[in-house]
Amino acid sequence: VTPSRAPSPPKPRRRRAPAPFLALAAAAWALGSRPAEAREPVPFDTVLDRVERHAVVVVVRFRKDVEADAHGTDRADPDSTPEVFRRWRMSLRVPGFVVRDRRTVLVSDLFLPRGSVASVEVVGKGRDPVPARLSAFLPHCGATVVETASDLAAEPVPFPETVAVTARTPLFVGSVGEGLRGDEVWAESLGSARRRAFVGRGFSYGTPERASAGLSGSRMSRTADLVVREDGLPLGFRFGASVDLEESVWTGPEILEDLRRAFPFSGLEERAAATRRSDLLVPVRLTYRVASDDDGGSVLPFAYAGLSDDAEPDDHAVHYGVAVAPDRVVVPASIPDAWVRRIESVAVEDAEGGAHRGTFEGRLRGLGAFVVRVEPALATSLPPRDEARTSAPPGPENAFLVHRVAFRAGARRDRVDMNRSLGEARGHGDRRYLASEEAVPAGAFLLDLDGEVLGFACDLLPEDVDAEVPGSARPTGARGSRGVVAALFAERGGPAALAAGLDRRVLPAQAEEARRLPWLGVEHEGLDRRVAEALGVSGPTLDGARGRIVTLVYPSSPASRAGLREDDVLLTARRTGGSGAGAPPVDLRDGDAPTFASDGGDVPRLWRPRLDGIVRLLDSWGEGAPYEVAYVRDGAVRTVPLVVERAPRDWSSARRARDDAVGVTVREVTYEVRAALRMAGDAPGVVVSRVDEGSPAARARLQPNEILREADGRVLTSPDDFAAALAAARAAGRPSVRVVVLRLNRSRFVDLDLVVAPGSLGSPAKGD
Amino acid sequence: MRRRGPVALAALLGLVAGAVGRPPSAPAGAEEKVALDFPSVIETAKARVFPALVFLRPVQEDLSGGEKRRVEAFGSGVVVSPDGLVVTNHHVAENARQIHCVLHTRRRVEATVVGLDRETDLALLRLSLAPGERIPHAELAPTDALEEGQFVMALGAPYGFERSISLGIVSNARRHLGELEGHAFNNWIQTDAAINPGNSGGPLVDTDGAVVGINTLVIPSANNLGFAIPVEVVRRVADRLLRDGRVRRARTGLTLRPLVDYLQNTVFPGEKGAIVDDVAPGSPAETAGVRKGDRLLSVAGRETNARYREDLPDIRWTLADLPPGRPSPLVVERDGHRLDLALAAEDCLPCDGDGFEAPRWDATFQSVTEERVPDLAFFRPSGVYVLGVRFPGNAAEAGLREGDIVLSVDRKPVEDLAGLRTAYEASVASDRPKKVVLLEVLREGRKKLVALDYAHDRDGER
Repeated sequence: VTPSRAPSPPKPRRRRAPAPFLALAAAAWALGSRPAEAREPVPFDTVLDRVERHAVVVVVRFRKDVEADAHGTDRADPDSTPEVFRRWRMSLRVPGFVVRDRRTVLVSDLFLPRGSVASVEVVGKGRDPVPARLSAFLPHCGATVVETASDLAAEPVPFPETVAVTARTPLFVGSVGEGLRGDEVWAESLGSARRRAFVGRGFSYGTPERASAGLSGSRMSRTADLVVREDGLPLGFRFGASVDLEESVWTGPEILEDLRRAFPFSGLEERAAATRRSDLLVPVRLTYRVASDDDGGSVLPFAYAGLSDDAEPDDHAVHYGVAVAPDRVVVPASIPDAWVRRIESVAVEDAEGGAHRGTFEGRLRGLGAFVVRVEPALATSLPPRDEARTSAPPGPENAFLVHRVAFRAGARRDRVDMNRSLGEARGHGDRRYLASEEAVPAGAFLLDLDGEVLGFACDLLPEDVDAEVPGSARPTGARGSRGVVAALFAERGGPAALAAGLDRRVLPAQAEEARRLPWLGVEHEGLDRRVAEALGVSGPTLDGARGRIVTLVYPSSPASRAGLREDDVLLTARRTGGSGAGAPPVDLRDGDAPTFASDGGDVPRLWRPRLDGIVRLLDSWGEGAPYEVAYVRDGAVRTVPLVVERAPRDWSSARRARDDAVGVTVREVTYEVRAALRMAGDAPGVVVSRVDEGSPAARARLQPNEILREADGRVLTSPDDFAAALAAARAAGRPSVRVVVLRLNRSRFVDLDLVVAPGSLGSPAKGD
Repeated sequence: MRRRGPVALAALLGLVAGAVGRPPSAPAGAEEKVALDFPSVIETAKARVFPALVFLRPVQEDLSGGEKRRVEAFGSGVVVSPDGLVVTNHHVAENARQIHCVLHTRRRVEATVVGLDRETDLALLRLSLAPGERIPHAELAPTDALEEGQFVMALGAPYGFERSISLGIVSNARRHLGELEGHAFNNWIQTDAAINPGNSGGPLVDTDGAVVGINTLVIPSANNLGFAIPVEVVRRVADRLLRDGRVRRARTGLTLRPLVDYLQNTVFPGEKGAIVDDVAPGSPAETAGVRKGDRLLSVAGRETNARYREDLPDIRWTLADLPPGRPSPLVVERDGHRLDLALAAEDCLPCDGDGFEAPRWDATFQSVTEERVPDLAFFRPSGVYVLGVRFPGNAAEAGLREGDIVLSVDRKPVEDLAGLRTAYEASVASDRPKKVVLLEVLREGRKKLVALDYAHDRDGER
């Protein structure tokens, strides 16, 4: 059945007669009324007349949404409607209807970023455009209110107080749309519209590539249709392409009632400001330990919220969480395991700027969100939820607010947008999730129109990939997630229930002790066929295919105590006790590590990461496990019994101190660094591990891997000494600290400026 | 920067020689404001210096590619005495096995090296003239009191285009180019007169036709950033080269820093003295009791004032001129107190030494010295390192790399080049069935074993 269209010439607008009647007959049939019951053709013009009398076209023009970019929440998506229209210098034309007075027009929700709207005007029948603005949205009806600056020619729709409609009542919908010859008024039977509207409606659960495609209704062109009885009586509106007659057709009284409670767009800014003033959404700053290759996967996952993909691993990230209780903050951000382990400290700041210490408690099971315990407690939080107040998720077409917070250019940016619920949809794990008209990005908070936090949107982490295989990095974080889901406190049983669902399997390896690796205590190199031959170990090393030649034995290491020496060729290792005792020996045949160890940054180091093949093997056996190593010395294969021991602190677990103002991170000189830099066992100093570009440290030509031996005449033996020297100089009001720097065999001294121009370095340099 | 690539332009030379024409003459005094009469200035310079200009074509022996290669380089020089002494750059004359010279008269003469000084990149040559023969020479300017903006001309053979002259001004009369790479003993004249490879060793001439500098460096990627060694340094070095064949420098172990050092962000109050940046462990300065951070006020009775970096070269000369082995008075200020110390400097032996070519191994070696390869010397203060690896070659195939420090050959420790030569010769002479040596090297501070199979004789492939 072809929908009937009544094309009209642009000016003057005139309908052509015959077609509607034909179409009407078809439409009546399509409505499902019994075809046997012959009826008189209804004068279709009545319907079209009614539509034409109230319909207008709302024209929206666009500009570059600079605001979105500044907020960091919506980088102007080149494929977004405003951007496409702006690029093509097109205006968006949507149908609207005049209601209540001659200055109020209702259009279907447009979900346009406010910053992108350059101008709005309303074009009535044969009249000049009237300037207008998008003023408010309706809480329930799925419509946006457009207010014009002057009276329109079109009349407001006169809705009857009450009207009885049954399933048999022949209803029509009509509106104005763009045709070949300009705006055309059209109408058709509601029944045919119902059938067609099924097409294209549905939900997608997002893809890893585009998580924001999430759990939301597919975007359809939204129209506003006037619902008219066959005799021309206007009954209500249908907004968008909704299906359900019960839920989607709004009657006149409902609309007028909703109009009285319309939420002004200007209220969104106030809402953002109010939230910001409260402690409801608090910044949670995670500081990460400097990554090293030892941690496995030092490259930041691409979609990790809060950090750009090229951020230095030495960095931190600021997320925002909601205080569900005075001492608990839920943060909707998904962090891969490796990064959770690397969390060094968590700091929470309240609205007054007060600092609170945070503790990472765990992730929420199945959700890309985590819980932080806060000390001391925050002054305000979500009110304790009594069950009576627990509101259901916003019902279909109910408006709610999406509050997004970003940390951008050193400052917090709050932004509130309206969104509309499509109701619940079945999703992952057969659970039901909130579906929204507009996609809600992970990390956003959902508020009702009164500003109460309903929940948040986050990644969904399917629990089946949570099962961790020891020693293997599982797909985590954004890569393992399945789109965006709104976790609603109500649905999940409130904050208390959320906290009960804590997944504490992966926690920050906060204690440095916990991060210490096992060691054998040797530096070793690989062999090849010719070297094996020249050494006379071709046989035991299988022509150099296995075996590592010892090039250095660290004093007081297990290897040194066991009597291993330089030039011993290690062949195999075999566990001699415990659960794996019967297993065959493992060949030691690590490929050569990269010449320069790198910790994920671009700074080459003279020392190698500790986690080589041997350490990995020992790590899998666990501390205390007895094992033996077979090696060749003087042409004879020997074995030596050993026990897996924990190494002293190394580069990646080294104590460190960072000074943001000076722009330098130093670490203690651990045993392997000491050996690589040929430092005596008791030589003082700390190693520069990072120098920020443009910082006072960089201006003083300090470079990574240099040794700082003294600061202001005080010998440095640990990073704490360095921090203390800086603190002392600051306390004494000195403008700089003089440090003695050692680079290979040359030493010099430099002055590190402590006085920083306000604002120039106060904000984090990267990552936000 | 040190080595100019040889430019093979021999075919062009004859052509170019004819192309050097007279400058177009302009009416004299056409502009009253112009104090200089360009045509006459250029004529003067030409008349005075052109006859003393020498085009040098040294045949250098180069080991950097892993084999001994003879390379013909281009350079310039200037005759400074009627009996045929020529000043040029160290990097033109170093490793030269033969130096062919072409005089202004296009007469070809051989030259011999009188002395080389790597620290200032200067060399003194003597032309092999007939006994008693006199040739035109250029005058060195009496002082290097140059001023920025003054007109200067660079004479030489850029890219082998002999007898070329280019005009410019002094961009900066005292440019400090840092301490490394033998730049410690002089400041530089920066000029925008075009200087190109081949100009090296040629004179920078003022409007009186006196030599004010020796063109030495150019920043290739920049526009007209050329650098010349000031004439005072040239005179000082040339005198010593003539007298001793080398420039003796005493070693004190002091590293100095100016009072105002924006590069390292330190500023010390006052005008007097220079700051001791570092005292090398075990050096004469340490023995004398100098400490890092002291303010060095005078040495052997001469004040050592370095407010800026440009003042440092003079002090370094003062230190280098200390008599070796005998105590010299040294005054430092420490914590506001004046201390009189006595410093007995050491004689610093020249570190120039021939490398060693191991043709069957397809590699060349050089000895490790603090001056030559400070980064390697950190890991092993003395010893032998791989200067170059021929490609393709046995060493390259075995994985030997440039900069590897050789610790042992076939498990026998190698301490110096002689030791390596012995080991090499033994390996070549031996009648072992497998032509393989096991080298133990230090690469980036880490020990590594390399089995070098030299059975393949690539000499026949050359």
